[in-house]
Amino acid sequence: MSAVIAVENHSPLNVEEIRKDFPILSREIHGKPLIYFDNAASAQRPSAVIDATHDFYSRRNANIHRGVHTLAEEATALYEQARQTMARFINAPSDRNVVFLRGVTEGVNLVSQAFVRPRVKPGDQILVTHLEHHSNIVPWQLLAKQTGVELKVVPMTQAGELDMDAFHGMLNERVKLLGVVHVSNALGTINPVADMVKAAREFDIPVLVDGAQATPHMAVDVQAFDCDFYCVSGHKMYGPTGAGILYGKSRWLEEMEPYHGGGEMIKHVTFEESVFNEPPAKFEAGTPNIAGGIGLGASARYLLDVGLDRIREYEAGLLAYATEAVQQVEGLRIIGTARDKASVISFTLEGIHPHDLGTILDHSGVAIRTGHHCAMPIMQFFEVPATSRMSLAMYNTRDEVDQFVAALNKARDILA
Amino acid sequence: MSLQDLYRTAVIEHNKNPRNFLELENPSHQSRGLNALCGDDIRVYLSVDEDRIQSASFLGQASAITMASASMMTVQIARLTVGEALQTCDRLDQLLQGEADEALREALGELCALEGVRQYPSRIKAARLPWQAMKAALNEQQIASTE
Ligand SMILES: Cc1ncc(COP(=O)(O)O)c(C=O)c1O
Repeated sequence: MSAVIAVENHSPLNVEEIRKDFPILSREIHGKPLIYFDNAASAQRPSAVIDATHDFYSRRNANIHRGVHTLAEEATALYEQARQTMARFINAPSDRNVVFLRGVTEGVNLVSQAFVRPRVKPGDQILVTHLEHHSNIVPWQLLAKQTGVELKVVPMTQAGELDMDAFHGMLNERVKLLGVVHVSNALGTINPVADMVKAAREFDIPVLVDGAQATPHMAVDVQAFDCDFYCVSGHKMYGPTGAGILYGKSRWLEEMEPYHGGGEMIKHVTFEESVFNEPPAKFEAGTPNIAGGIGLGASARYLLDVGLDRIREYEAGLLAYATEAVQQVEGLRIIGTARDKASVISFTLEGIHPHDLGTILDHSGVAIRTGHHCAMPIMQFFEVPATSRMSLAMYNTRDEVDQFVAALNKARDILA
Repeated sequence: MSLQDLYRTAVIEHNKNPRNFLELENPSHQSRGLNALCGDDIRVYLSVDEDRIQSASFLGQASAITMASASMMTVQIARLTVGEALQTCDRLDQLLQGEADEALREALGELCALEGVRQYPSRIKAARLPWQAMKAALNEQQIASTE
């Protein structure tokens, strides 16, 4: 890396420059500039990602790993480069540890069926936390029905942090997997994943981390975490929808049975039996989302270029500013006040149902998410039917936060 | 499409001061209207005697559209026969589908204030939820859920 770039990477993030990379940010909604605060549901795409997929379709489209013609080779090379980029992005030891699939949901289901299912018997336990997204709850409930394992839940505190004493007390030899969300989509809480893995190690419990909400906000190092599996969804990190990865330790990926059967995941097929391919191909049956994988690689490269530490620093400042600003709104209650948070603020506004708020804000050009955020147990814990959630990205500004606060006050004028 | 059109004065007023916002003492029928995605959850109580709705009430937490629709409903269907109440429900559906003529508007009265939801497909469900709960109650169903 040249000295110039090294110096540049230590300068603070220039949000105006970043904004230019995202074409959609110049859109107007109901005649107002778009203020996109629904990044935790799906972030927007930079030109780098749009161009990568466009280039693939317009110049290099072909199936991968199949043909000897030029397009097939170029497509295969691009797809495998994207895999290497993803390995670098999460600091995996090798690109062989990176399985391409649709996203976190598919990653959890894969681990549940291909890894955990053959290893459990009735009375064994799966441990998840109260902060999980439905995608890290429901696959385990299905497994429980299939195998008789019990699902145990690490409780949380009123601040929306995990109760670590309770967590330590729940570890035992019967636990066959710990599933934990790195960053909560509903509350923003950042969980102490490395500490949790370390504690789980004492009982030889493999750990799966749901990284959906972490990768857009912070550097991820799966080797430092020492987790066994790490799931990523592309669309949360400025990449395409339906493209994600599952990181797995080599030992497990080699040992595991395939998840889906079909083309690509085999070496040799007769009607009597098939010889499976090596990982990661073993888990990639059928023609994948090739353009999606390439776009995902482009989004990771974009984030590495911007610098995840700069993003983290910028967003921390923005979150502090927004937290302070929204608290000035009368009747606003923040749900989830963990000490360590990503740039997510869930809240309720007295006298205004979240759904009405969502509609009123939309008329001011502001996109937020209202509802249960696919985390109904969290809503049940705080005894609210739904919350409103602003989730900030590296391209959001303090000025947008100010306009958002003005729109909240307008909603109060109309309804409260 | 404007906010004033969606949140008409009558809607805002009913949302702030919902009528019959209580549990009837001995309801002959009751049901729950649920839209988990939006976080709308209400209970509808009816007291029906000799095919006539003597009184209606509701409780719950929901968006302004659902609250106003439920509040107006409890006012409008009180003293109607079951058949008339169901007819009102059909008329409301027609209004929400943009098929209301003058006669229908007249019959619906204050409920016409809900018309603004037509431009918001996700809110049409919200307006219909209390009515579905009423129907469910009359059919002795525990729950009516949209979505
Ligand atoms: C924390 C968390 N986990 C998992 C998911 C599921 O991701 P996907 O729908 O991309 O599989 C999401 C996104 O909705 C999420 O926020």
